[in-house]
Amino acid sequence: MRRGKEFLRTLGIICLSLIFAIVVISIVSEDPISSLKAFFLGPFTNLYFFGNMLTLSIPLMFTGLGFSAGFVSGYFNLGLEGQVYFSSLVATILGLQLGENNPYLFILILPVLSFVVGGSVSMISGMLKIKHGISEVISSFLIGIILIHLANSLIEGPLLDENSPISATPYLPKDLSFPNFEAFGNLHLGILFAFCSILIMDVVLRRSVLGYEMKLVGKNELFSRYGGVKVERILMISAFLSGGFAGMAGTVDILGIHHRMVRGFSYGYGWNGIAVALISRNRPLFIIPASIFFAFLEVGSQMASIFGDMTPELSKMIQAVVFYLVTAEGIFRFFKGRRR
Amino acid sequence: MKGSIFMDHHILMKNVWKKFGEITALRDANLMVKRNTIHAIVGENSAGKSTLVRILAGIERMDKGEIWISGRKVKIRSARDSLKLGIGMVHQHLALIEDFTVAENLFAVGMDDPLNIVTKRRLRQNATKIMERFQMNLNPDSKVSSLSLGEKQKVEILRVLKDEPKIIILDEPTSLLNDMEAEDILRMLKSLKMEGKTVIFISHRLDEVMKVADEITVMRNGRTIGPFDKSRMSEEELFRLMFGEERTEFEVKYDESKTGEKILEIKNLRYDQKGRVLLEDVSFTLRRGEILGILGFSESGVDLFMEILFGLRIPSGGRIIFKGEDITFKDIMDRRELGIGFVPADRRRVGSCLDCSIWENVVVNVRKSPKISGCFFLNTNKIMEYTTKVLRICGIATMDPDLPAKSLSGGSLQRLIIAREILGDPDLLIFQEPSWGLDMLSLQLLKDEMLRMKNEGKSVIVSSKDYDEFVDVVDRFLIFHKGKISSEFLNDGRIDKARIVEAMVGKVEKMRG
Repeated sequence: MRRGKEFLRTLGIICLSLIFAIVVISIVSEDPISSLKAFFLGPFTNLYFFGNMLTLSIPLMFTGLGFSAGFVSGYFNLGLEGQVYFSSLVATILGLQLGENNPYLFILILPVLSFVVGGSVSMISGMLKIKHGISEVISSFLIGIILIHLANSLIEGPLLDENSPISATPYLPKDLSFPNFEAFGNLHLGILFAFCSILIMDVVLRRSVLGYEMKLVGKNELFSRYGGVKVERILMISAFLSGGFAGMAGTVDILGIHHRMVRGFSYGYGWNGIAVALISRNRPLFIIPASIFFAFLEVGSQMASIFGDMTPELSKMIQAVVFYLVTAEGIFRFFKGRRR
Repeated sequence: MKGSIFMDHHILMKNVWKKFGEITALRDANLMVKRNTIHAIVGENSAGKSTLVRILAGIERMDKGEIWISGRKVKIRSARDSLKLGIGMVHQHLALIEDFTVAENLFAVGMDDPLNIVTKRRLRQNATKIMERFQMNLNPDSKVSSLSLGEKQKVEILRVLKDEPKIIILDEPTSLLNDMEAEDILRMLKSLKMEGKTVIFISHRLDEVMKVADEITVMRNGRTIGPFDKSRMSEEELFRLMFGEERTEFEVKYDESKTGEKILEIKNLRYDQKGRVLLEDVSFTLRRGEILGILGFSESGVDLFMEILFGLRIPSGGRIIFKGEDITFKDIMDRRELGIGFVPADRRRVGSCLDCSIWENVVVNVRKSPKISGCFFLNTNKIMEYTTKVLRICGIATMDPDLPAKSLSGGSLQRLIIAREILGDPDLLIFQEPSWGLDMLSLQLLKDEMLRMKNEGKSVIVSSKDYDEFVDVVDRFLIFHKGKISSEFLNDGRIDKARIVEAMVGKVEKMRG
């Protein structure tokens, strides 16, 4: 019953945001019918567009999963954005330095490495929370911002590719990239990585002692402590997983699409990941449709700007509406739970 | 004749009844308070003292009964009604804003003239004025957080006095204070009487009552006895009225030869908080096959001790040895694995997770045992089997294990927690106030379980505020008072209840031999 209600509420949020899209398009567009058609049906008209939509959802699956992994234990990771960006830079550097000789090995090493980097960054906030009682909401956000600026200064400085017209590092070695499913636009192997991560996390949360303890800590810390759960340890594990998945988001994107670190390539992955996680209500499997929905908004808006007379910023507006609605509700639930 | 009773008394509460759900808190209670006297209400915990005065203060509403103030029949529907009648109440728990100054706490809330601009100077002037009037020396500018408990209590009292009530009610004003601070408050009560006010105060410290009260009403199980003129009563007589006279013969007698080896040893345990010693010199040993009862009122340190014993708090000094191993600083998982179980008093926040499902609550202490899981993965079938078993024991076999625990009634939840801890099969099971919410049958089953554990050579510690609740199974009582073990009674079948209660309220000093 309760789950049914939650599902309805989520559905309501999605419908509201789509209604908002229809209203905006109807008001702004000179030819609303064709714009609407492009927006809603565009992404499904051919495999290429459809594939691009799926591609766009891959990093969101990771960041959504990352936020979820922290959120179940009450660890509110607002540093996703920085973790995504910084870990992909570290992975890129390593790929540039060492990737030449064993490219196929590094295809596997780099995602794992960025997982560790992102996780470690996130664990700093976890440590501050446990040792000094500093809220991770603040510390993760601030650390994230520092890392973004640090990474940017590296991209603009020592790592800049002088021959590139945009701010970016040189390209990674040719073979150091994910194989691409040609028919589906940019769709690449990363989607399998995403599915696997989600599947593993789903099993861990639903079926393992660790997942049980994580959820327990999130729901009632006092009871967990009383039950013998090592609350600090669980929080650290959650923080690590949270930052880790976020770290993979950027690297997978780079290995799949950009093949080099481009300044600002990940803009918004972190924040949209939070919305994705909140829509999916901490059930990892639901992260898949939720991220595809977000990617749909993005691609739909692009379609509406190509085949209609909208601007691509439309997607940002709709995403903002979804974001406001779900975070308002999610944060409310979070703090209500915490008070108990 | 009738008229004179009504006129003579400042306050008259007649035939008051109050029920909370199934529990009858007041049965035909009466309160007669003469003008300009200090009237004490005494009685053991949950005798209905607070309920009675809360009705007078308009916080609770009575189901039946009459209230007369100064010879006029009145209706008190809210705290505001009560205030209008000149009644002010100082509550048992301090409700000051710690980050505000004394003056701000006194006047910033409920200023009578909302349009007036509140200036610091004006607040200070008002505060100084009222403090001079009641001869209390506090710095109006100091933050409440920097005050001692006694000073905080004074601020709380001043806050009520500033409305110039004619009747002042104080609910256990001294229970948090040390002797000197309490002395101070008592002096204040006397000066209030000199001012011409009528004072009602609740206490379970009989020595205080004998010092300041003019008249005394005794409460027992929601009924009132009295009022008595203090000068005609002795403390012993009051005791007898509060707790009854009967001596009970018990079935179970303490037999040292049946107990086994030492299982638990507490050495000089101590706990400080913000410079106050809350627990001191707590030492005792427990053997296998023993049921130990720990008694004490709420501020006696019993609850603190139980939490330290299970590892929810870290002691400031001393040692806890369990099965020969020093567990003072071990965490709860280690304690559980060594064989300690705990039924906490706070069953809704500590003992259970209301937002979690029932099965998540049931398996918490066995989640790593082969009953439930492999080393990493949970076994859903075994979980459901185990949960169903627990639910059957609790008499709620029809509950869906996937429902959240908050859908259980209070009693069912308590049975669930107790069943869970017993099924964890610990060597030492600690119960903190376990009888809450249990009906007679469940309580009897719990006692049978305790005896079974005892016969299997396991040990039980049970704390209670009701001294006779477990008297028929407990081998030995330790009594806590003011953070120390004040006395120890072997259950030889002839324990005098009055003596136990005397020890609980601190009448008997050091009876341990």
